[in-house]
Amino acid sequence: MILHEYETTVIVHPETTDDEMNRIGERLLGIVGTFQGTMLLKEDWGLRKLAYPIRKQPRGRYLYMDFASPADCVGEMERVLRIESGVMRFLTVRLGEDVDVEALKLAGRDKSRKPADDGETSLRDDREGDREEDMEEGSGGPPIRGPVAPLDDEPEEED
Amino acid sequence: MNRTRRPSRKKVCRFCADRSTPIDYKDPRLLKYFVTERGKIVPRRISGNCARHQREMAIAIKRARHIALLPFVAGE
Repeated sequence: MILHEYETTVIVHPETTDDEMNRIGERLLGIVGTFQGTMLLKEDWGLRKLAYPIRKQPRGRYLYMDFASPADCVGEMERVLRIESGVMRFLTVRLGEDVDVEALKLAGRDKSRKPADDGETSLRDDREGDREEDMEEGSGGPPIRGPVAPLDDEPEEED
Repeated sequence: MNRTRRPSRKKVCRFCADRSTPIDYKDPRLLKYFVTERGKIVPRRISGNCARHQREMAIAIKRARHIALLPFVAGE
């Protein structure tokens, strides 16, 4: 059987209870199980601020999973996710094709993938100056709407 | 207005220079350097990315937008 490695990120409604979260998690785990897949990592990223509102919610609870399964499994998972009313959004990405599950387990696939936590806004001015330096010092910034753009030699809108 | 053209400095693709940095859509801190304040993807001529990495970057940014780690449109 050919297994591929996938990762799925699910955004659940912020008012979802922990029980409900667990139920969804278990349900997905169950699906992976029925397809003879293996869950490599299941992670709760908790409540995060969304970059834009989804279903009028400014926040969402993130659930992240890394698993190896046959391709059919993804279809079934996504079908279920579409039905689950608490799920606001999801994204599945294939990480590797025809993977060896045991090797992945050994490779330490269980490391946390949680995105760095965002402060709301930090005030930094790194407009000018060396680009490379910008990038390094910036590793503490907010993921959302940061002061970023190297605009100095580009007109924004050209007509 | 700051519109002086600096003598063209050779930009080296960041991801070619440092192969250990993966382009990951789950890493908004990294990605935000490649979008403008408005949320638009920074063109290669500004970011200095090579074609391959710019392509990967563009895909990563779009994925990040989908799961609301990056805005489609920022500011107002």
